[in-house]
Amino acid sequence: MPKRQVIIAAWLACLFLGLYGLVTHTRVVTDLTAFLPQAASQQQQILISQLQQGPAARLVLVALDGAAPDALASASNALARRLVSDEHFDFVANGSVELEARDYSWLFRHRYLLSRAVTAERFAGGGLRHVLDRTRERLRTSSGDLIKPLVARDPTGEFLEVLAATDYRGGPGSRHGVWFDRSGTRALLLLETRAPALAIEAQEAVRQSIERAFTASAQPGVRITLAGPAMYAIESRKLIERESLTFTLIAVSCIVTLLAWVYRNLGLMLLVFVPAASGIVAAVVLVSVSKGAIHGITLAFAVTLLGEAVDYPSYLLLQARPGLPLSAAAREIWPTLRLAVLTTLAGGVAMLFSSIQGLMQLGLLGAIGVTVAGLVNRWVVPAIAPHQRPVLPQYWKAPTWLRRVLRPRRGLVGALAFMAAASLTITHFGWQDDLGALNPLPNSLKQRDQELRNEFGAPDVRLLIAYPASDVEHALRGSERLRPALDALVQSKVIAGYEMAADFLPSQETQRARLAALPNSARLQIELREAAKAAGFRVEALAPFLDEIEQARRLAPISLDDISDRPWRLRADALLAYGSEGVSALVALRGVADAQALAARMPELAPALLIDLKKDAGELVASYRQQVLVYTSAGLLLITLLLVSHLRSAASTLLVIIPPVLAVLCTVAALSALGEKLTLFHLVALLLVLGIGINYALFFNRPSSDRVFFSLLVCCATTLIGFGSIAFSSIPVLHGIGLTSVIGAGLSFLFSAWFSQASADQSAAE
Amino acid sequence: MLGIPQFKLGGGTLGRALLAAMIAVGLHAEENPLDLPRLMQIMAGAETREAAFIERKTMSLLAEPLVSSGILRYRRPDYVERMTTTPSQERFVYDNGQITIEADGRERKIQAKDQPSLVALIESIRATLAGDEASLRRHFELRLTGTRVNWLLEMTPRHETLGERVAHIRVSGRDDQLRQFEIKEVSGDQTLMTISPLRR
Repeated sequence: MPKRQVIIAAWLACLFLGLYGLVTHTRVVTDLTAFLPQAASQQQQILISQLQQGPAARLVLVALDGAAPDALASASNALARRLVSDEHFDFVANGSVELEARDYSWLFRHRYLLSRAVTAERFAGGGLRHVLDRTRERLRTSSGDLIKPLVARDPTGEFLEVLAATDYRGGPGSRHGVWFDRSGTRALLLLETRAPALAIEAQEAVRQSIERAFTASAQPGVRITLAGPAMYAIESRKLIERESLTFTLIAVSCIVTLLAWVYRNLGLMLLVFVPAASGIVAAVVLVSVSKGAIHGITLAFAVTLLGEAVDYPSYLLLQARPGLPLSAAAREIWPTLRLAVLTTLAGGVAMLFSSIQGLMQLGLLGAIGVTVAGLVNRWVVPAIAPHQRPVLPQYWKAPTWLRRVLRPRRGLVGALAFMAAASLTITHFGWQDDLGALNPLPNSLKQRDQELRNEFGAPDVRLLIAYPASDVEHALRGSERLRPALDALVQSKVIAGYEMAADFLPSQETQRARLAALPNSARLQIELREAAKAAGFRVEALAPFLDEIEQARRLAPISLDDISDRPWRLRADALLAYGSEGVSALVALRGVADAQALAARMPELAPALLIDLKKDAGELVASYRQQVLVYTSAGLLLITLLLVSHLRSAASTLLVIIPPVLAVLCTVAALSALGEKLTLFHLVALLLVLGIGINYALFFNRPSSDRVFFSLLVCCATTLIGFGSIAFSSIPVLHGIGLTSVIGAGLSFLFSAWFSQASADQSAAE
Repeated sequence: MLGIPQFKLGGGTLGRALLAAMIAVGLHAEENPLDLPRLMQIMAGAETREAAFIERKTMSLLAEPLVSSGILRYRRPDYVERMTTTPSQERFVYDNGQITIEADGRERKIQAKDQPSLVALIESIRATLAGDEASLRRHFELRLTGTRVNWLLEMTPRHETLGERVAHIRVSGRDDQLRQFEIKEVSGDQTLMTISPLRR
């Protein structure tokens, strides 16, 4: 049979080509942000750029516990000393004095570049007199003794100005000279990795390096905990790998047992996976070749969507009449199966037009995968099938109780759907608009992260002002110009305070202006003599001040590179958002008392923008969700049109379309009743439910027999086992997909049976 | 404890004055040197204290001393408050290891525990007021001279960091009342606080 050999040869060739492409050309990226919509507003762009490359993502928070505080403190110092010389880290801090002393001396040396107070007036005449008066009054206070040693060199108090601006606000408290948490039981360290957060392999090396340093400097009893996005990326990958493996093993062994009972032949069992596997290989290779890379989550979702394709061979093998050649059976079942494939295609095809990269990829993967699986099932499966045919369906009879359960009950379907709809209108229906929910991390890890962040006083800023510009220098300049308005807002108690990158790194323009404001030695000497006397200082005691100003005049403006190994570099970086069109300087607002008054002032500050991180992130997810809903509705319309054109009857179309749609409705109601908030994962799983449900409805409405009924039972059982197992996962993605699919597939099956024309009564008659 | 009776000299009251003086001397018969445990015991007797202070800071930076005044408050065992009223307002509170400074309408909190030299400096006055001999000995070399009605406690810092700046601290008093508190710095700068009790 040459035709058969041609088909096999072509399939094998394609498969090898695909596997070759899979090995050589497939690059899986794990960047979650591909699943965010193309940012519509500038606010959203800044938000996304922060998510993608904010330096906060490269932070590793280290906690040491399990021993007495002094032992923890020395462990912290030992670890910090080792890590400082480790090339994996840009920055290491544990709050110890040794590390801070050099930072303070650097700040002191550069105080005339960094202090906002530096102006020409401050160093001459009445201005100088005024500052010296203030310094004298500071000396009088109870903290006067602390500043006294610096006054001779810095009588205008610039260092204090700088400290006030760069103060590590809200940093952890220190005990025994290093950072400790509030309870005093954990010593804390802060590291910044050189590698990007999402470079998982590099971050794995970072983690090992920390653990080596910890082991080398170990103290008895001391335990180490690592937190931070990069560490969680590693942990979550491990967890996902581990859980996926466990659940896959459980699911596969259950499914294999079931299929072994059904088919009683290894070849037939393997055959079941051929269409879906071929579809996945083809889809992954084509997508990664055409798009350059494939997104990790997209891949997972696509495999989920193609879960439907595992059913195709079962429909074929189990429904084929005994004695009929498999190729003939495949031809016979093809119209229905083709419709199943086409409806699935229609459900996903709308996603191809999505502006969300990940969603578009998902649509493409699903479309290619299901098409290839359908074609393979039509031509390749009959060609490579062993001669044996499944025996069980030929004598299997539906037990009476099952027939009774699956008797048509349209009233019940209607009642359930009505109850679901009613419960959805009554109860508050929860969409998960928190961006964090898209994070595939288990909740326990997220909590640990949040807890450590709180200990570090890491800013959890909600409101930001962004000043967009073409480069860093212009962004810094622009943000500096916002200061008078911001100071006025502080004054009128609209906000409690603010922080900007220019606090740590003033623009070059500003720094040059400050340098120019410093008087030369001769001039300063004259000014100082008069002002010091008037302010009650002894002029000769302030002689070191003249040298300090002379030295400062010779300094070059500092750049981002100059502060690369300083603790405030992190905060400067965190307040600069790099986007595709330039850089935005961010102003973090503290203690916003009157958001409306703030918003009202914003037009005057243009082009600066107000960003509400939580609201904008919520809007982002909401707009994304809207897109999914629109595309799903479009898909549903397309499915209906397809069914009408194929079935050529409005009544049969309704029979096919109503059960799965009502099943989806009831699934949403059930999820809502279980307290689940709907996310992306649930929505994708609902698409799968729709696809599977339509298949059930199509087959339930075919001229029925026990064989058809049996094949449907087998398909439904494999789906329930496969997705039921992952519903128990602690990872939100897997849990969401699993739970939704199990409820949805189960309901689809029941509804299709209860709603069908032919159904179990006829099969009983057969 | 009895205070010192107030009386006018002259006007024929000299005899009564002499008598009163003799009674006073008789009551404070301990003209022999006071020892530290006894002083500590006397100091520990007071639950709360309130006193006015005048502080003169003399420093090489300035032509004239800086003078300020206000009120000191103490509550056993760990509460010390220094409220400056002139020329500007400032409130400094040390309460069980936590320092709070209020000035210009702002409040700052500092954990004293982490700064040993600051702790020592605060203990020089708190432990004296509380009669906490152990804490004083931990932070300072002590030398007590004088009598119960006119004692002088000189403290030399044990702690290196504080010792680099502070040469010695001198506290003088009468009975359980502080009279003067002086910090002499290595640089020659001096802080002199004169204290007069308001009530007991």
